[in-house]
Amino acid sequence: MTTSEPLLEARDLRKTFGGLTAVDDVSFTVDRGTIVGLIGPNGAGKSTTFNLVTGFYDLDDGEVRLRGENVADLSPEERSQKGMVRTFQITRELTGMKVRENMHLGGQDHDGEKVLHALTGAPSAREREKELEARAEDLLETLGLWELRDEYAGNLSGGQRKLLELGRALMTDPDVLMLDEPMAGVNPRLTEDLLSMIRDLRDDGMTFLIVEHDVEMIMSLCDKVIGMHNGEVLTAGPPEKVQDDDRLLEAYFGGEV
Amino acid sequence: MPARKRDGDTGNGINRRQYLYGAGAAALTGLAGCSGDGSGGGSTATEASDDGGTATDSGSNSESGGPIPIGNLSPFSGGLGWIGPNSRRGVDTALNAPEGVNQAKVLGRTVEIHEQDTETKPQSAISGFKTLDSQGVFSMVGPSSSVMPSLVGPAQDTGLAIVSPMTGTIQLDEVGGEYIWRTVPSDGVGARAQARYAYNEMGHRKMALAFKNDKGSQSFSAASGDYFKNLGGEVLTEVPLDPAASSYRSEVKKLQDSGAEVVSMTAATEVSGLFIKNYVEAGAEDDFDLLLGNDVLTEGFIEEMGADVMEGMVGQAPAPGPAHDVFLEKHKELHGKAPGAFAASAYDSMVLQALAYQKEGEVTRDAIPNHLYDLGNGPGKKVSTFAAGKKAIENGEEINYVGAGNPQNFDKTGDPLGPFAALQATDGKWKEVKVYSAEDLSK
Amino acid sequence: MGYASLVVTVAIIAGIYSLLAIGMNMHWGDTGLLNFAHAAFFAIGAYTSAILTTTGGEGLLASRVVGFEFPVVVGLVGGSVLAALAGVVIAVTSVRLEGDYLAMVTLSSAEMIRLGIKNEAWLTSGAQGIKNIPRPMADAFPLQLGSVTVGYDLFYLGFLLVIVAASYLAFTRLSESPFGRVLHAIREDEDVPRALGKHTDVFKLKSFGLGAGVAGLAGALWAHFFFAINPSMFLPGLTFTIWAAVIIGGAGNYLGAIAGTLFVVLTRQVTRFIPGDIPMSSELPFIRLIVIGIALIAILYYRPAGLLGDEERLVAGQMEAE
Repeated sequence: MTTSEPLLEARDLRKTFGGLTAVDDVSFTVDRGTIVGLIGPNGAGKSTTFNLVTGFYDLDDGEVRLRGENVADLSPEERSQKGMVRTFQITRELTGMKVRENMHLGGQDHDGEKVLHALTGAPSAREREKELEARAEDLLETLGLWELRDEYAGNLSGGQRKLLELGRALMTDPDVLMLDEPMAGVNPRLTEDLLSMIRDLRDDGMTFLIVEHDVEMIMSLCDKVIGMHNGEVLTAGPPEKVQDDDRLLEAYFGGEV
Repeated sequence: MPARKRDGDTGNGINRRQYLYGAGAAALTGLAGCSGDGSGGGSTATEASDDGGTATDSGSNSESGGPIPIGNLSPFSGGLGWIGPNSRRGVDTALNAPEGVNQAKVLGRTVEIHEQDTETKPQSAISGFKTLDSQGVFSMVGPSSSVMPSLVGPAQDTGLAIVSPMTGTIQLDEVGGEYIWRTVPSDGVGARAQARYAYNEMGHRKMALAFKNDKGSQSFSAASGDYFKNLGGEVLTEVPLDPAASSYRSEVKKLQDSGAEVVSMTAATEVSGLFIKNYVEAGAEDDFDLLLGNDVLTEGFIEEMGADVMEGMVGQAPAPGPAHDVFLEKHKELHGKAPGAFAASAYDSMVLQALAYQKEGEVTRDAIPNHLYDLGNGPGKKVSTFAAGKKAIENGEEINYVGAGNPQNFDKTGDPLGPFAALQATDGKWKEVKVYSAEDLSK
Repeated sequence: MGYASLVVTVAIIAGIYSLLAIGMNMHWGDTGLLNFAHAAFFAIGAYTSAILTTTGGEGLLASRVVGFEFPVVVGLVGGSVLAALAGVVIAVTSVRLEGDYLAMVTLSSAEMIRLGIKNEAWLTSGAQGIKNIPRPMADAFPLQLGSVTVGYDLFYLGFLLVIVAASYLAFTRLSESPFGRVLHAIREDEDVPRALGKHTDVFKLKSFGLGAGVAGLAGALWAHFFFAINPSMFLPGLTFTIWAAVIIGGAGNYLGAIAGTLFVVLTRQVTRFIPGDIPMSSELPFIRLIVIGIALIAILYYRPAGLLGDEERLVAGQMEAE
């Protein structure tokens, strides 16, 4: 399901912290309608890459292209508005807000977020809020969080928070959804549901870039896998190919193949 | 590894909590340093009860022999917090010394003082004023310049008179005579003495003004400059002195460059001390003479600065009232020490108020507006204690109160006019070099 | 005399301080911004309105050359708008700063503004302050309604209560709107709304402007009731008083902000009735502050969410391991 031009492309990303090079000349492409996995041992530079692509870190060098447009100079919120939405590795759910509020926050182009509209209760704002309510209900039902809709997010379990964060990101109707370890802490039964949900969304045309620790899961889910080590891309390609890459295995298992 | 280093990753509830504690602690520290709530002003007959209340109270109380509630609204804390206790002791001397108010008794009743603290802040002063109003005081010994302008409206609205022993500001020169009075001369009068001395006695024609950047100091220097101009002199420049500055070299230089022959330099001791130090260092003595404000006219200041340095500098002070020596003795006896600044005028304020009730024949809020002017001004028998005044009033005589701080001859806007002395630092002491009569100094 | 008059005056003070607390609650309670410049916004509102409605100075101390004689309503609007603008300007320079840095910038900005007011006498009369500030509709009172006399203070209190109620409703509505939702998200964790495409800087500026604007309105209302203003009324202590009120009342809850204000104002007033002849009575002003300080500590200890704050919200997410 690939098209001629990749939806998201990283070119020669480079980032140093002090004297330490965290990411060095990292390039990869993510085609529209695919699930791409980013794997590698701890310290491989996966999260840094993630933050560079989404704009939470400033690039030292390189380009991030979304639909061919270089977005490297845009702020995280601007990139998000262009359809590239992320979740966080350690859940950053808004503990002091209710589950439902968390979801609604994901709504884009909301007139109710303008002061005057909010004060006057403008019809356009109310309509948008209704749409969001319906969408949030659907998603919460799917994610099994509907019963918890009026709980504070801080009262959810770790797995439930992961789900909420995913749901919140989906509320933005992203083109490319970037998930940072989305399955960590989620119980196995739910994991299965989530995986099939991601596949369904992919089949509907959504694109995913996923950082994940669980290599087995990534291999079963992804259309393409990028293997990183020491801030560099070691290998990229279909799961079955990457799976057998000696260098990556070496990186993971410290040489014991 | 989340992006920008923010609150911890565990959810920032904890962080927030820390902030909360931090903010709480900050608020606490802040509160300790200030205080600020305020309180309100002017009640224009809020309820029908307003006027009625006064009448009822005075009706039921005046013959009952219970103590008469009188307020003392003074700075007991804040910037001028050191003055409040002086006022308290002055008032106490008026009440409890021999021939005092509580011995001779006003219409057979004693006076009970209700104190309220202005904290040297307008908000708190208004709050204190309204509290005294609600406690039913009939008049009050009043506060300092820094808060008086905020009380003018409330005093008029409630018909509750303030007789301030410590308000010098010329902002009140044209205000008062009904509910606003003072027993200390306006800065304007002292400033006129200063300007007159510079013009007539020292023969200067070109003046410059320097003042600590606060209400009172600026007001004093402005008044001096204004009168100097009236006399025919010229005011060349004005230089505010920032109290937080670590040196006034550039200000001294500016004054030297201005071509002034004499500078009216008004500031409290600290700023004055630093200014004089820089003045001497710069050799500016050759360029202009210094006229000093009221706060530094102590021998302690000369001692601190050095008699050599101070030699020849000029200041001015109200010539004390005729009853000053007697007051001094009473005060020493009662409180074991000499009266502090404004204590004598506080004494006068209390005695005058008591005499007003005696003369009214009834304890009401109208007594002050009705009688204070006549009590202070002649013609009439000169008295300087409450007991003597009461006796004369009972005999149907007119009286003229001559006070301790001042002779207390009021003008039509409630300000006392009195003689002022010019003082010069000579051999480590302030020597009286010229006394101007009230007539010399009237506008 | 009469207690009624005192009660009305104290209520007016509480009302004006409530407006300040409402603004502060938008900053801290809703958005999590540490604003220590509230006294400055209050001052800007008071001075702007006073300058707009009085003549330039006259008499000896007439250093002020600027003065207009617009109607009071112009002053109220002008004061609010200018305070809001000042809030935005301070925020623009510092809104990217996190928590405690923002606190430092706002605190120092507030002092700069106060010193500016003290020194720019051509505009503000400097240390002398502005007096004879007109009261709106002062000529119409006392008003005789049948057998009841309505005094000016009572009228002003009514006027003020309408404004406080309107502000309360408006700010509560904002807080509960999608706009408020974004502010709350910023309070909880700013990266999240950014990741969801919200321009959080813009929201923070709006929050700062709105809160500062209502503080400016409070300042204008203060000036037009109390006749005279001067720079010593706007020391940082005022900001801390409002902080105490918001924390005691419960940050994030507008009714709590008002309740906290009432608590603080009443504490101060009630202690004024302590008779002067008890031991240590000369320390009363300090004892008064200690009482409020103890209340603050007790509340932070036993009820960190404040009197009306949402305890559950505060502890949500605090228990998790890790």
